[in-house]
Amino acid sequence: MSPRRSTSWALALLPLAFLAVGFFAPLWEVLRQGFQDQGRWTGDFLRTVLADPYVRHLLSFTLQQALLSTALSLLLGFPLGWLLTRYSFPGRDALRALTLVPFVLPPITVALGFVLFFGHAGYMNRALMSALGLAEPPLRLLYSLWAIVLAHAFYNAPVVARFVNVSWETQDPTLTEAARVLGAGKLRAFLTVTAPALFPAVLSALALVFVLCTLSFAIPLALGGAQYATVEVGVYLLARVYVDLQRTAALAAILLGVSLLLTYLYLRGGGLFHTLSVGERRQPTVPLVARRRPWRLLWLGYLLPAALVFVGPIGAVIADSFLRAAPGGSSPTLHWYALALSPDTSPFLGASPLGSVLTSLTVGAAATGGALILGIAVSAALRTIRSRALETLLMAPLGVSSVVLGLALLLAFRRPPLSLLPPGPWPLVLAHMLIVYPFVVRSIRPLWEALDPSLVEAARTLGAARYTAFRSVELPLLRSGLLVAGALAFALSLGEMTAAAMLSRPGLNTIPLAIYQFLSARRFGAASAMATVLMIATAVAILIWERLGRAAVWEQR
Amino acid sequence: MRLASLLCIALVLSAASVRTAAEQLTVYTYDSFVAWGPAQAIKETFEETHPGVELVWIAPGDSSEMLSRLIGELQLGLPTADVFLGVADVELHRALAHEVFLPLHAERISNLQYVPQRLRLEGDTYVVPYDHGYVTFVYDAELLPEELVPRTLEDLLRPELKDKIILQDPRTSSPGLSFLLWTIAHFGDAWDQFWRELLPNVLTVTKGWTESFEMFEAGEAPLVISYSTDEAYSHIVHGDLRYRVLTPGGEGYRQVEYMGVVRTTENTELAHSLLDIVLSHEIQELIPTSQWMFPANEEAQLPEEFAEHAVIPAESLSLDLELVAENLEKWINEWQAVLVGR
Amino acid sequence: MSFLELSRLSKRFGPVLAVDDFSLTVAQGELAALIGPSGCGKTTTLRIIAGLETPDAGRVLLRGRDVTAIPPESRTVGLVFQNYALFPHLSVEKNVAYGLRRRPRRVRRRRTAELLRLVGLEQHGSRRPHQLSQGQKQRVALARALAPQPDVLLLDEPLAALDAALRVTLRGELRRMLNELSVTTLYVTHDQGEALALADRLAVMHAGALEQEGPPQGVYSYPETVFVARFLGRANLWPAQVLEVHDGRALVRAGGHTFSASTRDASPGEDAYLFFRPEDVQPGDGLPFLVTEAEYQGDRWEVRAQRQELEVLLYLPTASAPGAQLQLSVPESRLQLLPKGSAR
Repeated sequence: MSPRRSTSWALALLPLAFLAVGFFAPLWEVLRQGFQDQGRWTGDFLRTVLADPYVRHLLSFTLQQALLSTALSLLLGFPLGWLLTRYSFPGRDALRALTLVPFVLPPITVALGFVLFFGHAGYMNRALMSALGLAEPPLRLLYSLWAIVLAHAFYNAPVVARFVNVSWETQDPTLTEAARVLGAGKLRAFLTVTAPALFPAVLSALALVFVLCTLSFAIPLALGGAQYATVEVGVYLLARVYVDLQRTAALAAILLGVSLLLTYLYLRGGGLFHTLSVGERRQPTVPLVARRRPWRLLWLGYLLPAALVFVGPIGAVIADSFLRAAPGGSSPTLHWYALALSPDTSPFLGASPLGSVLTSLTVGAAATGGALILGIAVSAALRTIRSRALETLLMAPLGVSSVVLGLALLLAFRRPPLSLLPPGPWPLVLAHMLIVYPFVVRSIRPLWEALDPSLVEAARTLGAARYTAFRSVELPLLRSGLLVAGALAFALSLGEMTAAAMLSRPGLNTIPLAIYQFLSARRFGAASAMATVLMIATAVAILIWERLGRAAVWEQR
Repeated sequence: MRLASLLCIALVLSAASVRTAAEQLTVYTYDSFVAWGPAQAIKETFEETHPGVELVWIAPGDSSEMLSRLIGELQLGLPTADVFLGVADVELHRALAHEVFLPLHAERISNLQYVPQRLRLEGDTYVVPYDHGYVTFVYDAELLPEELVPRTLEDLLRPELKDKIILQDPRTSSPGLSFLLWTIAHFGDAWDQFWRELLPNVLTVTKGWTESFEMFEAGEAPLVISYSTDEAYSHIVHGDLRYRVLTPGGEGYRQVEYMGVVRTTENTELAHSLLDIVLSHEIQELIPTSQWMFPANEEAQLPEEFAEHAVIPAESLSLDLELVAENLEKWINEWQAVLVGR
Repeated sequence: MSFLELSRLSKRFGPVLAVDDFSLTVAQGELAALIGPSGCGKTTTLRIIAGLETPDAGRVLLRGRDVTAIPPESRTVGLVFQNYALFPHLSVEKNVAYGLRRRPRRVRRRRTAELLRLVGLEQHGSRRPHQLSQGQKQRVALARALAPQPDVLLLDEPLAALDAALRVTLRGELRRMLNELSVTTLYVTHDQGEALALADRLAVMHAGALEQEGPPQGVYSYPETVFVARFLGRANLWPAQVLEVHDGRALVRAGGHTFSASTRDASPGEDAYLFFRPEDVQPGDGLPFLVTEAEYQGDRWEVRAQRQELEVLLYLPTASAPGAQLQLSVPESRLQLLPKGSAR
């Protein structure tokens, strides 16, 4: 091995060593708990768990709701993608930007919005009851499979729309024109030319949505009740509510297998997602309002319910945070905001609301900083050593469900080396770091790969050492990418609830958990105010993300 | 470089967020004890008696959930509570099996003398009772027409009651567990058949009682598992009898609630003092109209309206605690299977 | 008989007038080339004929029938796109058969095979477009457009995506196939070599309007405007003043000399250009010029020579060097007068 090569291996060793201590060892602990009985390896716990009808129900229900959610996401998302591609109308760019929101909107806020808007005593039912003079709420959606499915569709339809939009927009319009000239009508041209070209994008969107719905946590936890729990929720309940570590670990092992398999399939299938031909011309658009009447009505028939599903819940959260009457009866009020930012310990949280906000912010900042450093280290390693095996190892946290990660860290922080850390929210920081750094790698790696290697070579011939060249040439050029990644990482950490729920303890509470706890105690005003605070914080991070993202594109031109 | 400084700032901030507090006594209880019950009064009395000590209530869940949390934290070696208030009799065996409590020094709890023997456990070794009551159904007289009000448990199966009942999860909530045991006491081995037929009428099974009752009060469903004192609550708080207690066939399930000192505490003195304060006349007299339960202290005066409207079921059911301890895991597993329709 | 007739077409995209009162007729079996610089509106015209754009004004007649309002799939027009627009998810065979779906399966199969044979790709029927070379793609696109036996074949810069050597080869092949099929064809290109080599008739388009049309030789040798003279091949253009006009010929003065040139509508006293092609310049006798530049081209020498303000470009078979003297003349029949106004 040449000295240069050994240096690059040493470089790869740093993130690898970190992951070994902070990720692989804790995961190993889960497997040990699940498969070892008094030091002996055994499949007994796994067999017991798999034989349990309740666990089987968890598995089949998880699958069922994920399939239904995926189907509904397609149904709701495809027309939106179509609309964004084919029609021009005021607010089109804004709408397109909004399809990014679900990537970062914390799921617990959506769950809260659904309870407030679609609940039996929610805004929608109250409006319908007073409009139609009904005595009973007409819309019975909550506490059922459909509440979960609809909330997932709310979440994931924009993902489908975005995939469809991007793929369709870059499709060469001459292909459809060729079909038309060859005698195909509009419908046939769509079915035989446009649709097959969209197929890979749609498939990969559906795969992603399926993975997300399978591993969804906050929505089934908050909307499902005892009857409708997914595996993720099952692991959480077993670990933190029913306290059965052995069964938890065995179930977590199953979940680990499922999530790794799904991620593998998704990444394999991701290869499908490249547009087959990119034309110079963009897809032409037509003004929406100028469409013939039947089309207009059809679009109206889609847009009105869609607006209700997408805007209603979020609007309900914001409205509720001001309009829900304070204990004195006054409304509108800022009482709930005062409560949501109060430094006094709230018994429902086991911590103070302000403390939860501060914890979220500090954990977010620390996790972002850590994830950026880890992300750079991993990208650097993958840049110098091209090895599939190394990439799989270094990106492995991407494929592990958050609830399993939480369990692993919960177990790992009981013993050295991690238990030697000084007191602080370390488990949560580490969990969030591990959850978000793959996104950092994904946003800076392409930028780094695209950098002209001769820039560094030029710096080296001008007398800069390798690290100096990195600091003075590569890092400044990657700056915008890093800022984008940082904003995204921060937003993701703020909204993350799964690992937080696994790792919470008295005094260590985050905003999403506080929302869930307020929601569970049916303290809607406080939950809404907290959720609005969270949405604003996330929106700011995302605004930075969008702005810098655009700036990054400009810089590259 | 800037990254490194960012990280440093973040680290300093996160270290600063872990405040070293003054002396504290942490008490786990269930959410409704804080939302409704005399928690605030207890805190005030306690902090008056022990200046410089802060009493911290932590109650983000129902009793079983909080007990599980305590057990989990003890198992994982995480920091946890000093006192646990709110173990229902039906769950005592679980707490005792996991050895969560320190043996009590009963002589340090002088107010224990006012608690009748029938509520106390032999020797008062680990826990003492602080209130008791009966788990029954409560219905909303405005939303449920008179002819639909069930007179027996079997009446609950009528198809007209579809989606009209709110229950609690017996794995996480003590009234939920009490209702499960009630059906077992009533139907014997046929209890699972009853549940299978009941489920279509159940709107949802919530994790805790608070969530259920808030939903009930919000009008989401007119029938809920709750306590036999809720008619008094309706009368005293709302000034009407909108919420009526329903004892199908005259039945209700007896519940006694206990408290104890957690084994890892370093504040044994303060913990015992707290238990004594909870049993004092002043606090116990608050229990009927805040916690809406019967006080454990026999000398505590019941408000007149409470005494008038609090229902004592004609048939108070309860299973032998030993029997429950032996069979609970099996029953819960069977119940789970019924819940998921297998 | 006019087979395809474009009558006074206009099309505007925002502020840009892409097609401006454009008329053209193509006879049955004729191969017409529409030629012009990029952005002159030729592709838009083609798309209007195919039905992919609707003109703001004017009509498209196909076999005498007005098809202006008919959707593309109902016109019997074949179009070969500049980038070929082969369906990436279909095999070569299926691409070719795409326009034949209304025909019985047997006919479809036979016709597909026939066309693949015609373009020499009978071995490649099951390949996907991305497995083909550019030249092969071009031939598949041609076969696909021809398969439904269109009344008119439209070719949009069909050779532009190919490299220079292949372009010449395929140009010959294309001419052979189109001759064989004798299908009415409108061929859009910006390459004058291609247009001259292939077309029966040439239409030069400039800024959305028709500049000149006619047989290739006629348009090349007798351009009517400075634009056409420059666009088709190389041109010597001398500023000149008209002295007299008599019987289709004008006496003009340029660079202190008097010449006689053919003209169409010049009038005495106006400014104009004296035009002749470099290949019309003959060395030997005539006016003396001084060589300023000489460039070896392999088969000939390209020479620039000057006499006072007159500069001339010519081709010589033998070597020449700057500083040498040449006596040059142009046959009077090759001297033409072009109006100044058309120099846009």
